[in-house]
Amino acid sequence: MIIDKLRIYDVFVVSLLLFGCTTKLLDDAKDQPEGRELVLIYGFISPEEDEIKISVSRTRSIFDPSLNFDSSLIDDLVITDATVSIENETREVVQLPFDNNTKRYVVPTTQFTIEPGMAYVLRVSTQGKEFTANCTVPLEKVSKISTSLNVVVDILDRITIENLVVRFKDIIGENNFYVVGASFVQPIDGQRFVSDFDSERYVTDVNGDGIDILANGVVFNSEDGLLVTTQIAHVDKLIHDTFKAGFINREANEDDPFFRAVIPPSNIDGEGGYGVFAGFRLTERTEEIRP
Amino acid sequence: MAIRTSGILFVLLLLFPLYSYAQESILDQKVTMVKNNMTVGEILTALEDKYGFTTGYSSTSIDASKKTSLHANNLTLNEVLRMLFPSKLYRFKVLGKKLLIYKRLERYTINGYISEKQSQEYISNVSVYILEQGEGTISNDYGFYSISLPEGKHKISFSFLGYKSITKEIDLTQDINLNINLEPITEYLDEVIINSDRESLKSEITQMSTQRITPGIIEDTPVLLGEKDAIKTLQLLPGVQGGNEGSAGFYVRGGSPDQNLIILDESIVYNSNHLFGIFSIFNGDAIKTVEIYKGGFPARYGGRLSSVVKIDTKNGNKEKLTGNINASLISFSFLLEGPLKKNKTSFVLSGRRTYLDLLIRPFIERNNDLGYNFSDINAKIHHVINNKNKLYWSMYFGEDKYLSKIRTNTENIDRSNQIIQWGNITSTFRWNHEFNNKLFSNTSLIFSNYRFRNESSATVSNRSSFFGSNSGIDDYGLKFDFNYYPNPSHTVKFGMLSTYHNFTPRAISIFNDGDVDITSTQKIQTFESGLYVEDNWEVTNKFSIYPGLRLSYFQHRSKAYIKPEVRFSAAYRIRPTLAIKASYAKMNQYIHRLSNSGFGLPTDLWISSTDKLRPQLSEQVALGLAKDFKDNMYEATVEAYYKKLDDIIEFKEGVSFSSVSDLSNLGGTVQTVDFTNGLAIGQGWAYGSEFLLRKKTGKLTGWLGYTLSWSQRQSPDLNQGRKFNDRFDRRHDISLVSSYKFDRPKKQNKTTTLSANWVFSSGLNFDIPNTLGISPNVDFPVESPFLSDLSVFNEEKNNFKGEAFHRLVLGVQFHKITKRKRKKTWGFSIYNAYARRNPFFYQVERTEEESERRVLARGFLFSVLPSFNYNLKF
Repeated sequence: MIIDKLRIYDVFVVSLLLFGCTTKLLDDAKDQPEGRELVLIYGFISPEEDEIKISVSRTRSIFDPSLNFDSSLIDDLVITDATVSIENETREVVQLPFDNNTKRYVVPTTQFTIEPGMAYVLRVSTQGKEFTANCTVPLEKVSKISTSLNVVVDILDRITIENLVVRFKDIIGENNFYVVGASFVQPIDGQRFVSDFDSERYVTDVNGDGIDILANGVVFNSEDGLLVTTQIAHVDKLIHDTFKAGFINREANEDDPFFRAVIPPSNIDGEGGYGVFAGFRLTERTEEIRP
Repeated sequence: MAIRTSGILFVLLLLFPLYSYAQESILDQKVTMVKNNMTVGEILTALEDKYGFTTGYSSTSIDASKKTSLHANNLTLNEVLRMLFPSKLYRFKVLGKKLLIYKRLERYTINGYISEKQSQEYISNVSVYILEQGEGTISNDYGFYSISLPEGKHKISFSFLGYKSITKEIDLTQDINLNINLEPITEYLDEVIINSDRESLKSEITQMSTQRITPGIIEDTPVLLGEKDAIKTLQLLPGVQGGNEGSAGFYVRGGSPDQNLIILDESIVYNSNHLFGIFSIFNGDAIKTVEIYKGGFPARYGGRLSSVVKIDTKNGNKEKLTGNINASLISFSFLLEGPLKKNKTSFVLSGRRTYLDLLIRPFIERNNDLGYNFSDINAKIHHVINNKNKLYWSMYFGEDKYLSKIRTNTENIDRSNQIIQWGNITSTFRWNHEFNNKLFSNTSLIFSNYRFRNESSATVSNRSSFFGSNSGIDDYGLKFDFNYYPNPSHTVKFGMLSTYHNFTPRAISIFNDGDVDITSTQKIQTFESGLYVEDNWEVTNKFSIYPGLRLSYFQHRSKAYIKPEVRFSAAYRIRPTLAIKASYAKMNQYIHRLSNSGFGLPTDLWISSTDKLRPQLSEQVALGLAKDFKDNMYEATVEAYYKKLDDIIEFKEGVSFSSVSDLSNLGGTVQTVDFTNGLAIGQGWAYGSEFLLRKKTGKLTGWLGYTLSWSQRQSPDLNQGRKFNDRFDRRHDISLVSSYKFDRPKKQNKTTTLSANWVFSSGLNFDIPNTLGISPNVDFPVESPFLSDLSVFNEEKNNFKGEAFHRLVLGVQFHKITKRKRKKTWGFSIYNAYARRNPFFYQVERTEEESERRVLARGFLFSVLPSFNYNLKF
């Protein structure tokens, strides 16, 4: 909930204004920890997807002075000449060719089906190295989603906020991990927006198996109702942790001296390989809702 | 014929049991003899002649010249001898044709309390030393001592550095109660209890890995902004490392701050920091002694893995009303002590409050308010019921408070209030009781509380909301400690402690204009107990051991942990002032602090072991040398240690971040902690060596400390299961602390103290996201508005060793004693004298606003900070 966002370190900063000072010094920090060049592999497969897409790229050190942060950077990072294949439990293997448009290794699921509960093996060969990863696609997906609109007061920012409240039933069984999102269309002008769920995009059932799970996303101009498409992905823990790490690292507040970067997980085997190959199940629901 | 060689007598006594049974008939022999007014020696000679045996005795135990008469008619020899030697201390034994007469030496006990002459403040650790026997003991925490000696004349020396030694000559014929008043040496008067004492001659005691600091040291060690800070002074000792710049948290031999057991007058203190760790809560004015154990823990301490810090406050002056006031740049403090009933009841009251919030208030817009302050109050009452019973009640209250009130339009309709408050309350009631002259007991009723409260409310466009969150812990404890002094070779301590812990990991209250109304409180109740026994045993003059056993017990719901903990220390004195020592200690910890930064933030949570969360465990071995030299002016210690930690916990990555910045996630964390997910459980290793050279007396005092250490961690949930260097793994740590006192020429009653300390330590380990790659989000179908095509991450935890930390602090104090015997002190200090920009944090930033190029940026906290303080003692 937005109303309970209270940043303790703000208090700390105010206190330091009374007692000390915090100044950043550029350039004189020595021995920068250069990042290694890794082969970065991401592949998230689902029975609900039309395609299997595998991203194979290289990483660079963030401190590399030759880095160009323009549109050419992605092209520079993408590895186009890898050999990528996926094998299922029945030893069927499919090769994924490189697609120049998406910069991914892609194959339609009509050629190679992704089944719930089935295990798959990813093999990537590039730069003279072999990388493998295993995953099992979650068996079940969220069956019922309910949504509503709400208005809350943000205590810190002293504003009112319109919320899309997404509620769904946790899948009973082991710990489950979900990624939540939604888009909405305003009836007045037909414009489409994507709702911001902030940290509540990544939710789990660790508070109790089978409970109702809530997530709040920000919407606006909802007085006359909205056409909302809600997406809930029941994901492998690796996907949840990877996205959450990315979210936390991106959210790193420059004024927070206590920020500790989160190391994203990896299930890529092979020296110099990093990334995640994992499965998910997707549930979508579109409906018109009113306050 | 009398044989006067006691050595032969001793040998004969040893051999005697082998023969005595068969030869008892001599003593049963019937005797008939009449002798009038003859010496005992003559009567014995007559018996020898008549009954055909010889006697042996020591002339020191039998007065053969004493005249007496004997009228025996058909009595056994044993009965006759008893007529001659009626005291039961005399024993008769037969060895062949020899009759041995000897006197068993009676032992008597001298006991009492040792206190300071003017104030009647009890003094612990005073050396009580029997000169001719080379035996001794020390006074306990309450100034009590007891020593049992053979009857006879003894010279007993009571000594404590900073006080005039007292030597008493005693003819010991019965138990004696002897209370001693030690008079402070004039030059040390201001320090009450000075830097060291005879007990702490490192080569003489069995205990290792311990240091003691006193108000004198704390007063002369300049720290931040002129505050007297016991914990920051502790950080200057080898093996005790500070955290980040300004932090009052400390890391002992690779442990984390929550692994330090901090005891204030027998009560555990959970939060020892003010202002996010920049100051410690212990008001230097009220402290009597601070003692730290880094290893070789005595069995009477338990419940934490890495250190024990024992802080005792003053009892109060029983003679007259005294006190002091102190004003520094940021705070005002006072101490008042005196008798409520002379020589019977005394009190101490001290307080401290920061006042910068009051100073800035006039500059804040009307109707708004913003400020932060912290305050402390220490109070103590000591009452002497009689010589055998004494009562103590002590209390501490400390609080940090942040307040913000904002009105956003002219009508003050839209408004928000926020208050964040956290602090401790401790209260201890103690009863000292002397069962007899060898058995001393202390019974304590203990209460300790820590509370964090955070409340916000806002009204915007006539919609109101309220958010309240608090967490805390309440402890209720009962403790029994017994000290038993059977003879000078043994000091036995035993007892038990039971504590009921009532945790509130989180209680929330949320109200949002009628839409939301949530109240939820999470409670965990646990019971912790410990039984202990330990014996400080001087096996020989050169060799001593200190074995101990602690049986710890912890219960959460139906799950109970019973853990025996073995403690053992040994010392062998190679030379009179050189000892080699070794120790082993096993510790369990059932109460854990989940820290996101290690910085002592109030959002750090104390949680308990549960059925799913096992207690943390450590085992430590240490080996060292201790040397005293130059007439005990100097001491030097070298110690090496190896510590293994198991089942240690911390937040998982990501969870920790959330808990710092966003209390909503913190709530999730706590529920997650419940306590299975969200926590990483692992193991740790710490090893290294420490060196300390300390000058204890003279105008120049201080120490040089050096630590070489390693600290590593491993957990399946951190760093992808790989071993990594702990964030506070610092390879080298050097501290140089000095204080120089001198009289000012031609100015009577005026002295000056110059002080300086310099520290150097290897850098901390930081997580720096240093690898740029394509974001994983790109191919995922669930949309989000702020996703980037690129991501930056690091693949190794603590992947960057920060720059080294070093800092010089200089101080000068001008003391003046007025005609009315009041002492004024003006103190000036410069923190970080050469303006070293020590790293506080690192971040990856753009070189310029417009540029995309990234570099590592360093943030620092304090540059040169001059400060001033004024102290008046009356």
